[in-house]
Amino acid sequence: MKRTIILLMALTAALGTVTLPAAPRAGSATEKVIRITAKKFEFAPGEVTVRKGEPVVLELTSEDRTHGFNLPDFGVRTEVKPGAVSRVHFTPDKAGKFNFACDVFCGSGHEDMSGTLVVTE
Amino acid sequence: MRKQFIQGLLTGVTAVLVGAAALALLVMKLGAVPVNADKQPPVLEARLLGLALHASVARHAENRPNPLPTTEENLVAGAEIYAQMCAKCHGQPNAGPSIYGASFYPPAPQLATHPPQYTEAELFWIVKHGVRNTAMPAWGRQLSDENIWQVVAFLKRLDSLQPVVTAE
Repeated sequence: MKRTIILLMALTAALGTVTLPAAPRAGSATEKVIRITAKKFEFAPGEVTVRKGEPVVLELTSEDRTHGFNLPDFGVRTEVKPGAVSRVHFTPDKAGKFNFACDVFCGSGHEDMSGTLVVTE
Repeated sequence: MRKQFIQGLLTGVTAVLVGAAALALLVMKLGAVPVNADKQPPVLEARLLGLALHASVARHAENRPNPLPTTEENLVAGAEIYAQMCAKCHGQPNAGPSIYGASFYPPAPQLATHPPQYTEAELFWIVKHGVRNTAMPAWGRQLSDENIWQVVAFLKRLDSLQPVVTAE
């Protein structure tokens, strides 16, 4: 009986480990953390440099209203809301210059709200 | 006998195709293809390209309704986006056609005076992906899907909207 209970407990623990929802990931030790601030109508910094193959986490915050962050060349997209940190994880797999832009309409000047991701070899 | 005929026919067709391609290339290399934009597209060109455009959009656009409810909030948001991002080329509802948009080749459709005949799904596809070799950009890089659906909702109701919406 005791052995059965121990077995059940072990099984429950194992299943719990597998099925527990993952907590939101902050930047891990191997990821380069880059903080970007959004406000009408700019990102700061407007140019970000990373290395090809190096895992990156972008931590995005907004100073005024909801903005969008769209980096289509790497399939990265998120909303950036004031009072919260939006994190996106990716690993650039190609070198070059890639544009990112706000894709949540934020007023006259929205079309100029963009920046550049520089990926070096 | 029949085999010889087929071989001759294939050789002839190939020669004609290669000759036509070489002639087209020569015309292009000589600079004989007009590229100026200050003319109206010939009727045949406009019809053929219009046919290709409509067919391609119908083929690629997903057949789905606008997922957003038709609320005043969404229509006003669509009107605001239209005013900032589209009206310069396609005309402002209360200000008539755009001379700027009319100067493109082909001229940008004047949506303020001629509301689009496309379905909402087709309009969504056009706005999101743009149209090659026209001045229509792919707005999917600068507008979220929600924003695009708001513009589409506004466009499809342009001729029946309340002044509060068109004044945005």
